[in-house]
Amino acid sequence: MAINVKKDGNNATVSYSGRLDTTTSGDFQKALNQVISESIDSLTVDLRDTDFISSKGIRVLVAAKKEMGEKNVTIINANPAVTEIIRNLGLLRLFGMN
Amino acid sequence: MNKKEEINRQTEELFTENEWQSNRLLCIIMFGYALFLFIFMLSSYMGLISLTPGMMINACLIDAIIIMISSVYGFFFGNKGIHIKYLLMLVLIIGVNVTHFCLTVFSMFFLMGPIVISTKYYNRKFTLITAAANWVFLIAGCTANIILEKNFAAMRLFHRYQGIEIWGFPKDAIMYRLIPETVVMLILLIICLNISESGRRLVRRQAEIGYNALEMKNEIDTAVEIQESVIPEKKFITSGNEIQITAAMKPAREAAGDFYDYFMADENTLAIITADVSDKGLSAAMFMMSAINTLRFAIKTGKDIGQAFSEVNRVLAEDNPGCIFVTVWAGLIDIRTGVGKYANAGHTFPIIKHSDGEIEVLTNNPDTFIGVFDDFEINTHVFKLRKDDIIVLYTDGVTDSMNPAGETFGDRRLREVIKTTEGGTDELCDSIIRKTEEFSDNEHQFDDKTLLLARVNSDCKPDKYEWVYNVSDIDIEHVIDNTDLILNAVSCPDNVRRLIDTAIDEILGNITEYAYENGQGAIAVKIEAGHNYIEMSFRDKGLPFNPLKTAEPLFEDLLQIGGYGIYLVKTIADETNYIYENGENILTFIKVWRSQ
Repeated sequence: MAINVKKDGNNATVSYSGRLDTTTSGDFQKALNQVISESIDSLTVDLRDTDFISSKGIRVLVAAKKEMGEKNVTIINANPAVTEIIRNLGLLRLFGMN
Repeated sequence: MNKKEEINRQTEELFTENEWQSNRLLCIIMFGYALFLFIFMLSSYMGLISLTPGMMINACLIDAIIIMISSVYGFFFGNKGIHIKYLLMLVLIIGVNVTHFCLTVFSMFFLMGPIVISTKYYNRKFTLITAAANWVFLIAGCTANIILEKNFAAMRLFHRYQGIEIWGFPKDAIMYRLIPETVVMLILLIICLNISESGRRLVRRQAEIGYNALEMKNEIDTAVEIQESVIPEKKFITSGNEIQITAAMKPAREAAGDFYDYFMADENTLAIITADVSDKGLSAAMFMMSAINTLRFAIKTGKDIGQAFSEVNRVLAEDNPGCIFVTVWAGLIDIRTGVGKYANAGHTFPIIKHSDGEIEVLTNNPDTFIGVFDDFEINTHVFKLRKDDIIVLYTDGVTDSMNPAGETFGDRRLREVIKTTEGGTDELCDSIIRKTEEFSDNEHQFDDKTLLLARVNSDCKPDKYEWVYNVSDIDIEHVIDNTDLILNAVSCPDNVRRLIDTAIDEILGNITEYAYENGQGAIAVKIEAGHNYIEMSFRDKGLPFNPLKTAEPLFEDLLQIGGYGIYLVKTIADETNYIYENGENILTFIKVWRSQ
């Protein structure tokens, strides 16, 4: 599991590689909270190297969105399996996916 | 040739045929008439009856002979032209008028003969001409009568003998013979003209009906031809006996609505399909063709069975003003594992005969038929064919077969036949057909009967694994790693593997957190995997709990505890099952995919 944070002004991109599940979601949440606390305007989550995401991982992302309030949290580069999970939970729109 | 021309042509043919028949009839009547005259004259000649003066006898005899010869000629050569009838009728008219002249007894009857007979020709012109000629000869005969009587006393004597004393003056002849006879002839003419006309119309109508029936029959024949051209062979068997298929199609007279199909969707996947369309005739057959082609294409291009059905519905519902619908059952099965998935859109439930003789009916919650509704939802289900199992697909024409008492063959009898018949797909198929035919006992069937029987003898043994962990130190990542190895070994596609991994995480996360109150206890994980499926079971001895009964999450607050995990598991899995047995919670999860 690896988490990478890139900042471009007040916009942050967090890349996650590995599995976003019961075991690993805790660390991911800590990382996201850290980034959000730095008062960013938008958050992009790059899941290109995320193998799969379970409900624990989803919850972390949803919590992040709640924290961000009106500001955008966008998920990009999700593979078909991840996309399907997010779609099944009706969250595509929330995370700016088509 | 357009429809009207065709009907006209057929009508003309009918009338021509009628003409020859009428000629024949005319000749027979003439012959009979001549014979009667002959006998009459002979009797008179021999003095048996005293009817008429000598010269009358001769006249009548000559008359009879002429008629007889004409009738014989007409009978054998009467089909040589449409003018023959005029000739024959002329002979008859002269004949009856001569008789009328010579014999007054019931001669009016014979006088009307020609007009009545002409009706048979259904030809107004002919009837008119016949009547006219008849009347002309009537006048001629009457005139001749008057003249002869004026000049020959013998004539007067003859008529007095007949009891008719009216020939003294032309006036009486006109009053008491000509006028009544003319009136009768006129009335008869009107009636006969009417009969001719309505007869002709009837014949024309008949031709129209016949033509329409022929058109309809052609349409149905075309529909059947189209069908026959696209369905595969009735028997199929692979060289290594891995696949055995027997199909049968018994269309009812009017219908062309059933369909069966089987093909290799890819190297390892067999598709089996039966379908039934709601309408009859050519348009229904075309609709069915469209459905089948779309389904075949979708399956062959790698779609899941559920996706394929959705695709077919989309294509058909787009343009279906007649609301024709199709019921379909289609299954895709990997011939290496015998595991597959099916979808059922309003169709019958197939029956599996297991190798041990047990009968299993593939029931499912009904999904609606294809082709009508835009919001179409289809569920897919898992089915397994083990070695020597036979699956029987059929359309409702089989179970709806009716006997003379009005009973239907029904599901129960079908299961009975399947259970009691020995042998492979051929024997079973023949047996079902025979039993339904025996049952219906020649009663006319309104629906097509279609059967497709398949046997898949898969050869591979699935990989099986079992691990036991303690809830306190289980490493979920490790379980997922192991599963990934197994799935990669059977070439499971990446995205399917990821979904399975997600499901494992959800299930184990759940058990680990909630099963044991004191945080200690065993979890057993069993895995069976083949080329296109994985079956997993999770057993724990913790609190009795059926996770599948967890209410669906409300989707309003995604941070709520519980619900989402199991919801995801249900959407990912093709089938899930829970039982509590011997103090154990047992949760099973099956996923089937199309191997690439």
